[in-house]
Amino acid sequence: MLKEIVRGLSTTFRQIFEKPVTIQYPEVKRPVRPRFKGRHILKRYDNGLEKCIGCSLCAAACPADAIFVEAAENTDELRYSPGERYASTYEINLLRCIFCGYCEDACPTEAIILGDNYELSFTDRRSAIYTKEMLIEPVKPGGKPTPQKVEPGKFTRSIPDMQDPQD
Amino acid sequence: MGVEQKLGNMGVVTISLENAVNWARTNAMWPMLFGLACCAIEMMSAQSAHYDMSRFGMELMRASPRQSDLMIVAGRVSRKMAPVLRRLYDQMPDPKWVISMGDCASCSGVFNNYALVQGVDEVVPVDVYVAGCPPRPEALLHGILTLHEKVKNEKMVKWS
Amino acid sequence: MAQLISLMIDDKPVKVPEGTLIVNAAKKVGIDIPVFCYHPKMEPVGMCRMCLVEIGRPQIDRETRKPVLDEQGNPVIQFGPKLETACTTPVSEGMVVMGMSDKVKKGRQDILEFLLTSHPLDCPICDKGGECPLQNLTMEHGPGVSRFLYDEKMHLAKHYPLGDLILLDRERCIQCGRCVRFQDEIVGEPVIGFEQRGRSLQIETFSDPGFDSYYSGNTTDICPVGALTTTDFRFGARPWELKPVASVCSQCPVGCNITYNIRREARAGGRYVIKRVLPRQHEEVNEIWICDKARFAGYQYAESPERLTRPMLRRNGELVESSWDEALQVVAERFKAATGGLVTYAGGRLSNEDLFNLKQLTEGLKGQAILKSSIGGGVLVAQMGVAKGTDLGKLGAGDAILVIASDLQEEAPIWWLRVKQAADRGATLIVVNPRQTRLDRFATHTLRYDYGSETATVLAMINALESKKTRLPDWLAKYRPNRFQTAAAKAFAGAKNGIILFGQEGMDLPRSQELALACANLLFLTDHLGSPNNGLIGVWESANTQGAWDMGFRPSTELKEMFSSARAVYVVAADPAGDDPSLADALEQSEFVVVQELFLTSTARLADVVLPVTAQPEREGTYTTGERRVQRFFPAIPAPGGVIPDYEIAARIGERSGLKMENRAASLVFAQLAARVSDYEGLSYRSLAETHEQWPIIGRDDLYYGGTAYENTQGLGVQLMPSSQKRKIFQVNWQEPPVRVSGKGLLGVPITRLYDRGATVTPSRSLASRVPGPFILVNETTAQKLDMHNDAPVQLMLAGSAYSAMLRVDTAVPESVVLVPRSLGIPLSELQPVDIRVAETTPA
Repeated sequence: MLKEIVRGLSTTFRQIFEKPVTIQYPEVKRPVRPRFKGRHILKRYDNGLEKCIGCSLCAAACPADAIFVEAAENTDELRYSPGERYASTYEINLLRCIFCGYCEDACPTEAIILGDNYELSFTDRRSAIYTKEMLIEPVKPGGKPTPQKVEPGKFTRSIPDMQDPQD
Repeated sequence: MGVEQKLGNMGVVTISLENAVNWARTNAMWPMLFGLACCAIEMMSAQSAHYDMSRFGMELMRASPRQSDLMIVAGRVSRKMAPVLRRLYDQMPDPKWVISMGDCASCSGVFNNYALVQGVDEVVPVDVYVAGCPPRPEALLHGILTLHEKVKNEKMVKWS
Repeated sequence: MAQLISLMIDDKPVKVPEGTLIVNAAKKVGIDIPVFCYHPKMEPVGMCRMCLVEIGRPQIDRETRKPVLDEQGNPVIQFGPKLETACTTPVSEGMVVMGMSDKVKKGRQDILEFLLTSHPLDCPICDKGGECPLQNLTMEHGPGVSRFLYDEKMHLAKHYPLGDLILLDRERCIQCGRCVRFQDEIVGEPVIGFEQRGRSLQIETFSDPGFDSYYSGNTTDICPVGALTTTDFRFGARPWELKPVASVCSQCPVGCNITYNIRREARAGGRYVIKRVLPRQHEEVNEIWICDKARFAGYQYAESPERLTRPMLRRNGELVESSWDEALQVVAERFKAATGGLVTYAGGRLSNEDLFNLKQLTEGLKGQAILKSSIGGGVLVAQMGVAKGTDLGKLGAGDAILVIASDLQEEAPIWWLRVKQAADRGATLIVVNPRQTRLDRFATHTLRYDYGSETATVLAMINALESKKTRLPDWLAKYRPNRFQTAAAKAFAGAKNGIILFGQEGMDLPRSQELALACANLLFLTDHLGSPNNGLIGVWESANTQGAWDMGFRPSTELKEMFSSARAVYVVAADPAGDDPSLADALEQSEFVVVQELFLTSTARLADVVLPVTAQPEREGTYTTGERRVQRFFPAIPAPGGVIPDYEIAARIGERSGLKMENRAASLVFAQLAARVSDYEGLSYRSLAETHEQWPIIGRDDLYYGGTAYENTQGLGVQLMPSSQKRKIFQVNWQEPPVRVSGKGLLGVPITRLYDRGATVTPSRSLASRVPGPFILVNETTAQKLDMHNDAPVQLMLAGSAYSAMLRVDTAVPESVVLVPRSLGIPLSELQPVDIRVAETTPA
C-alpha cells in the first residue's frame, strides 16, 4: 500500500517542477485555429468597393435568422459595389449568430467571412447588433471609401467575371 | 444607512470606498454552476488549468446559490427550467450578477420555439451577454472581464 | 357543351372538352408541363419550345377510317418522329402524351441550355430570384453544365427604363413575348413590341411617354424571368422574405382583389411595411390583373409622414393636439346639443362597417347622412343592378354591353379590360359617349351625343323599340331616334344578356339620376333584369360608394345650404372645402365642424375637431363593388400609434351621446349590419371568406404557368341580389327630364382621370411623375378661336374665380367644350359655362 501512495505522490510532486499550462488570458491570447469562426467581416475589393451586393442569400441561409439585409440601387455617381445592387442596411445580431459559417458558403461574391474575433460580450442586447459600418473592413491602401464616383459602364457585373470557371 | 450620509459629505472618501468595495467585489466573485447545455462544457473548460478562472478570484464554482455571487446561465433555458432558475437567483445573496453565456441563454439562438425561454433576461436581470455557440473559454473570460468593468463603475447609491 | 375527349397523359386518363390544349389538360389532372411563353390567358404561340412532349396518336386505317388494332385489341399508337409543343396542340381522341420520357427530358435540357446561353445568371441580385420560372425550371429540368462559352455571353443594358414604372433588363429577357402579347391581345394597346431579329431581338417601347398603359405592371407578373421589374419594388426585398396579406383595392368601384407583400424594415424602425402589391386571382372581378393605380398608389399614402396621428381641438383659433377622451367628449357633447341639426358627410372610401356605424350615429341624433358623390342612381342599382352570378368574363357572342357617359379606362380600368375582352369574344359593345374614348375601337355601335343630352339618347333608344310590356308615357314621343340609335337599341334588345354601365363623363347629380333611371327603363323594356349577367352597373368615383348607398347615405345637391345651416357637420373621408371653395365658406358658417381624416386637408384646417383614422391597409373591413359584390380586406401593416378606425370613432361618439353602438371589432359591426340591412342579410365575415377552385390554376408552386399573381385563399366575397332578382318585381318610373338651356360660349365639362390628385394618390412616389398638374382639354378649332396653342398656360374663369391650368389640345373633344378633369384642382362639378383667358404667369 505504501508503494502505491509513494507512486501516486511522486506523480503529484513531479508536477511541481512542470511549467504551468495556464494561458494568461487576457494578457496572452492563444492564436485560433485556421478554421475557427469568429465575428464576421465584410470584405472590400482592392479599389475600395464593397464585395457585398445585398442579395440577402446569407440571410436566407442563416439558420438563426441573425442577418438582416436591405438593398438599394447603385448609380455610377454613388457606387458602393459593382453591379446594380448594394446593401444599404446590413445587420448581424451576434447574440443570435451561431457562427456556423453558412453565410460564408452562401455568399456569391465571398463578401462575408468569419474572422478570428471571439471577444464578444455585451452589457445590453442592442449593442450586440452589428451594423454594416462595424462589420466592414477598412479600405486598403490605394482604395477609395464608398460611395465612389466611377466612370460609367465600368462596374456592370455584380459577380466578378470568372476566368475558365471550374466549379 | 447612517454611514452613507456621513460619508456623503466627505467626497473623496466616498469615492475611495466605492472603488474599494467594487474592487473587492470583482475579486471574489463566486460563480454558481448553471450548466444547462453545451455551453457548460466550455464553462468547465474555463475553470480548468488552461484558462483557470480562479485567477480572477473565482476559486470555486458553488453548487449552492447561497454561497455564490454570479450566476452563469450556460445553455438553453426551457420553460420548465425558468421558474427553477428564478428561484435559485432569488436565493442568491445580494449583490449578485448574471452572465448569459451563449446564444441560447441570450436569445434562444437557433431555437426559436415554444419550449424555450427566448432569452433568459425574460426571467432574471442579465448583466453581461456573451456571444458564441458555444463561446470558447476565452470568450467567457472576456465576458467576466466585461462584468468586472461594469462592477467597478457601479455607484454607491446603486448598491442594494 | 363541347364534346369530351379522352386521352392519356403520363399514363393518367384525362377527359377534357374538345379544343383544350394538352398543357391545360395536363394541368387539370395535376401534371405540370413546363412552359415559358404560354400563358393560360393568352393565345398560344409556341415560341419558347419548353413544353415539348412526345405525342402519340392512334393509327388510322386509311381505307376503313378506323383505328388499327393490335393482337390484344388495343389501338396501335403511332408516335411522331419529333417532339411536339404541348401548348399549341389541342387534344384529340385516343391521344397518348408522354411528358417524362427520356427523349422529352433531353429535349428540355437542350432548350434550357439554349435559353441560358446568354442569360446573365445574376440571380443573387435579380428581383425575380426566388419566384423565377426560369430558375425553378432550370433546377428541375436543366442540364447543370453548359457547353457554351461563358465569355461569349452577350452584355446588354441592365437598367433600361421602358417607362416611369417599368424597367427592362435586356440581358435577362428570354424573348418569350408574354409582355408584348399581353399588351397586344389582352389590353389592345401595343405600346411595346419586338425590335430586330434573331439574337438581337429586343423589347422596345413605342409610345411617348414610354410604356404608356394603365396595365403595365401586369407584365412584370407574367414575365417568366426578371427582365421586367417595377420601379417601386426594385431591389426592395427578396420574395421569400415577404409575407402575403389579402386585401381589396380601395381606388375604384371594381374592387380588384390584391395581395400586399409585407416585411419588416430597418428604415421603418423595424416595423412592417408594404413592399409591393400583387393581384389576387378572382376570375369574376379582376381575373389576375390589376391596374397601375392599384399597384403603385394603393398603399403608399399609408406610409406618408403627413399622416395625422393625434386628435386636434381648436383652442383660441388654433388647432392643438389633445387626447382622444377630450376630443371625443367635446364632439359627443356638441353633437348631442345639435340633435336634429347634424349633417354627416361621408366619402366612398370608407368601409361598410364605418358607414353603418356613421349612419347609426346620425340616425340616433336625427341628422342627415350625406354621401360624397357627383353621380347618382345608387338606389336604382340596388334594385336593378346586375344579378347575383354576374361575371363580365362570361359575356360573349350574343350578349350586349352598353357603356354610356363613361371614359371607362380612366374611371375603372379593369372593367374596361373586361368589357374589351367581352367584345373580343363577340359581345355587342355599344359605346355612347360625347367624345371618342379608347373603348370605341372595340365597339360594335358607337353613338355620340352633345354633352347634357345623354338621357335624351337613352330615351330615344327606348323609343326605337316597340314596347309591348308597358305603356310608354306620351312625352317620350318627342325623343326621336336616328338610325344609329335604332340599330344600337335593336342590338341591345336582341341580346341574350345585357348590361349597362353608366359613368361620370360630364355628369352631375340630377343628370346622372335621370340617366340611371332611363337606363333602368331600357333594361326593363329589353328584359335584361333579374338574371345573371343582366342589369345596371354604376361606375362610381370611389371604391365603396355602392356600399354607402346601401347603408342609407344619399348625395345632395344642396350641400352649401345644408352646411351653412347645420348645427354640426361631421365630415368623414371627404374634403368638401378642397373640392369646392364655396363649400369652405359654407362650412365656416356652420356652428361646429368635425373632420375625420388621414391627412390635414383643407376641410380639416377649418374644422373645430380633427380626428385621425387608420388607413385601409391597416385595418379590417368590407367594400361593396359596383357589381354589388361584398368583399373583405384584412389588416396588413400596424397603424401608427394614436389612430383608430372610423367605425370605432363613430361608435365611441355614439356611446358618449347615449346611443348603444358596437366599437369592439369590425366583424361585430358587420354582424349588426347583416342583421339590419336587408340586402346584406345572412352575410358574415366567414361567408365572405369562402373560396372555390378557379380556372386557370395559378399562384401555386408552378410560377411559370400563370405568373406571380396569388391564388385566392382568403375569400371571393359574395355578390348581393338586387331586389329585381330577389322578388322579380320591377317598378318602372317615368320621369321626364327637365329642359335645361345652356348658355352660349364655352361649356365646361367635368371628366374623370385615373391619375388624379386624390388624397390617396398624391402621396404615391411611383406615380408622382404621371399625375398631371391642373389641365383642361379643348379641340383644335376651339383653341384656334381662342388663339391659343397646345401646352399654353391659361386661366379658367369659373363662377367668378380664376384657376390656373395648362391648355391641351385633343381632337376628340367636341367643339366649344372645355373638358376639366376632376380632382386636379379645378372645382367644376357640373356642366357650367366657363371662359378661358391667357395666364399672366405660368401655373406652378
